[in-house]
Amino acid sequence: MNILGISAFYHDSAAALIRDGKIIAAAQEERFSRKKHDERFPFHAVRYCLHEGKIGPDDLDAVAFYDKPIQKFERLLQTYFATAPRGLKSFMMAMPIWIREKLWIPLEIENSLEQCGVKPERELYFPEHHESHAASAFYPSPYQTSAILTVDGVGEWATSTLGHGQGHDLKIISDLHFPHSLGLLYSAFTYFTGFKVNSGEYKLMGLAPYGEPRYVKQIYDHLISVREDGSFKLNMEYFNYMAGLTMTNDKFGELFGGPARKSETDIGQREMDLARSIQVVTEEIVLKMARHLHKITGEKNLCMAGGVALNCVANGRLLREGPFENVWIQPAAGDAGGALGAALTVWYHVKGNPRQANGVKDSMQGSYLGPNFDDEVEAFLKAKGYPAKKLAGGEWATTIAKVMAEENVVGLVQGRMEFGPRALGGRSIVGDPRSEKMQSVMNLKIKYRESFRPFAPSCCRDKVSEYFEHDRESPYMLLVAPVRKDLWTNLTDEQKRIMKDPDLCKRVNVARSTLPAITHVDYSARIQTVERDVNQKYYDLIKAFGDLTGVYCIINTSFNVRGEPIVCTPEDAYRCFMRTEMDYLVLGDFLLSKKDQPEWADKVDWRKDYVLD
Amino acid sequence: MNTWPWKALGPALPERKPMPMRVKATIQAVVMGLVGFAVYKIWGHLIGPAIVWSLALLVLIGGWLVPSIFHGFEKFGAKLAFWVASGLTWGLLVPFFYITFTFGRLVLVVRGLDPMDRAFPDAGRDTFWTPRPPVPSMDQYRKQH
Repeated sequence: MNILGISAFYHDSAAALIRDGKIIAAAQEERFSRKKHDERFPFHAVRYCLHEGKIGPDDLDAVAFYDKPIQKFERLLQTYFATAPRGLKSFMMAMPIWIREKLWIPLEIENSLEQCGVKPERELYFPEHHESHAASAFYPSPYQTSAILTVDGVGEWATSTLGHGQGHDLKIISDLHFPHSLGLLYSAFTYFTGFKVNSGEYKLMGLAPYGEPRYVKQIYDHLISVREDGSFKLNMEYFNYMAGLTMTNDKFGELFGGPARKSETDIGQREMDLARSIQVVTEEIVLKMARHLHKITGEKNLCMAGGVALNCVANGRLLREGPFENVWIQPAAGDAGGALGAALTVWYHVKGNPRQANGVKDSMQGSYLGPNFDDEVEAFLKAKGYPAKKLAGGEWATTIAKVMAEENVVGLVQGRMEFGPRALGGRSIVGDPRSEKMQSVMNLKIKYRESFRPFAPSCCRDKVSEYFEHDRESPYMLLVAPVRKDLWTNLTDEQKRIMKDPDLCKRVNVARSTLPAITHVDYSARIQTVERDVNQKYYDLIKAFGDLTGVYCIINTSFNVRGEPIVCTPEDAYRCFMRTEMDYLVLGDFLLSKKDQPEWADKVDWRKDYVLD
Repeated sequence: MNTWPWKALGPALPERKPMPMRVKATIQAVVMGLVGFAVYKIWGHLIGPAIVWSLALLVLIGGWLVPSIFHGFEKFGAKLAFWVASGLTWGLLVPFFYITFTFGRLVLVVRGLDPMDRAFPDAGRDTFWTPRPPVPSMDQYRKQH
C-alpha cells in the first residue's frame, strides 16, 4: 500500500511517501523551489516522491494531509471573536489566502496528482496536526512502546501534547491549547531580539551561551505561569500574536527595557541575556513536562517532535537530567516532518497494521530520504565543461581528508539529500575542526552569516566519547553535549578579558579547546555521530581524516549561504561553490578545485536571490 | 534562476501554449461588442455602448496590427482587475469583520466567556493540561474538522 503524506500552507511544506509502512522518500519543497521555508503546496516534492517510488497512475492508495484545515480555520475565527475590534490587519491578510487556497486542500491535492500523472481518486485523510507530529516521532523510532511529547507553535488548537505509543497504537493523552504555547513564547523572544520568526529560533539558541540568565525571574513573574506538571499559561497582555502582525507589544518592551532590536543591527548584552533567559525557561518547562509524562506513562523511552524539539540544547539537558533512559527525536521535527507523520498515522493507526520496532535502530535510514544525483554528475560536468578529478575507491576519502587537513573548506554533495533542517553529510560544507580560523572563515566568507554562530562536529560513532562527554548515538545533530574537559585550553588573562568583550566577533576567535572550530563559548557542541552502515562514504571520510590527523571529527555545516535553502542538485551546489570562497567541491565521485574552474560568469549578488533569514 | 531539469522529476510536463495574441484580441473584442450590444438593447442608451465598441475596435486593431496598443490594454486590464478585486475584498471584508466579530466579542464579554482562556495567573488551577477524549471512530480521520 502506497501512502503519500503532505504538509503545506504554514511553513516548510513537504511530501513523504511510504510503502507498506516503509519510508521510501521524503523531501521539503524549499530544496526544489529554492525558496527558504517555502509554505506553498509541495508540488515538486510530491512529484519527486512519486517518481522515487515509481508510482504509476493507479499505484497510489491514499493521501494524508498533516492537519485538519477546518479546525484551524475555526480557531482563527475564534481568535478574532476574542480580540475584535482589534485584529483587522491580521484578518485582512489571512482571509484571502484561506478563501483562495487553504479551504480547498482536497482540490489542490487532486490537481497536483493529476499533473504528476496519478489518478486523483484516492482515499484522503486528515490526521490532527500534533497527532502527525507524534506519529512522526513514535512510528519511525526504535521503540516498541514509548512516551511521546510534542511541542511547537500551534496546530489546530493544540500547542503541546502528551502521548503514549504502544506497537501500532498511538494515543494523545492531553494537550495545551492556543494561545498558550511554548513555541510561540520562544518565537516572541526570537522576534524581540531581532531575528526572523520561524527561522531565527536556532540563532537565538546559539546566542544564549553568550548571555546571563538575568531575565528569568521577570519571565516567570510577568509572562508565564507554570505548574509542576509542565503545563503553563501565558499572560497575553504582553503578546500581540493573537490579533496583530507582531509577536510582542509595547508592554513587553517596557518589561525588558526598550523596544525590540531591529534586524541586522548590533546585538547587545540585553539580547544575549534575553536569549539565555528564555533558553533556561524553555529547558525547565520541557524538563517538567517530561517528568510528568514519565510519571503518567511509566515508560523508559521518550519520542519527541514539534519545532521546540529542534532545540538541541534543551534535548541534551533532557537526556542528561530527565527521567527517561532513552530519547529519540524526529530529525524533521518541524512541520515538514508532519507529512511523514500523517502518512504513518494512516498506515499504522487508521489501517491498524502491525508494527515491530527492533529496539536498536530507527527506520529513518539516517534521514537520507531525498534525491540522489551521484550517477548523473559525470554527464553534468561534461555538459558544463567543469574540470574535475574522478576519485576511485579508497582514494575518495583519503584525498578529500588531505585537502581538509590543509585548512581548505570543502563542499560535499554525495548520496541522497537529507530530510529535515540539518545537513548530515549528504549536502554539507566540511572542514578541519582543529583550525582556529575556520569558524570565522566559514561564517563570514562562506556562509555570510552572523559571526557568533557555532559550527557542529560530525564524529565517528565509535570515537565520540574521546571528544565529548557523550557516549550514545546522535545521528541527527539534535543533541548538545560538553566537549571533554581534557581538550579545553587554559585561557590567558587576556583571553578571559576578551571573553567578556561586548563584541561577539572577538569572543568567537578565542580558542577554547583543541577543537576550536566546533567548541561553542560554553564548551558545548552539537554532535552528529556517524555510523558506517548508515552513511559509508561520510564515515570513511571522517575516518580518513582521523587516520591522517588523529582527530576523528570534522566540521559539518549545511551547504548553503545565508537565506538560501540547503542545496539539492549539483547545479545548486556548483553555483553556491562559485559564489563563495569555498576551496573545493565534491560532487559524487568527483573533486573540483576552485583554482581550476572557469571564471564564474554569473555576477548576480546572491543576496538578491535569497531573502536573509 | 535555473534549476537543473534532473531525472528525478521524470519527463517534463507539457508546457501550456499561450493563446495567440490575435485570437485573444478577437475574443475580447467580440465579448466587448456583445456587452455593448446588451447595454444598448436593455437600457436604450447609445453613448456607453459606443465607448465600449470603440474600445473593442482598438483592442481588435491592436491585437492584429499594433501589439503595443493591445499590450497596453492588457496591462491596464490587469491593474483594473487588481484594484477592483482589492476594493471588493476590503469593501466586503472590513464591514464583515467589524459587524460579525465585534458583535460576537460583545456577546462573549456579556456572557463572561473567553475561548482563549486568558485569565492569568489563574492560581486556582493545579494543571492546564486538557484531557484529550478518544477519537470516536476512524472515520474521523477522513474529515477536515
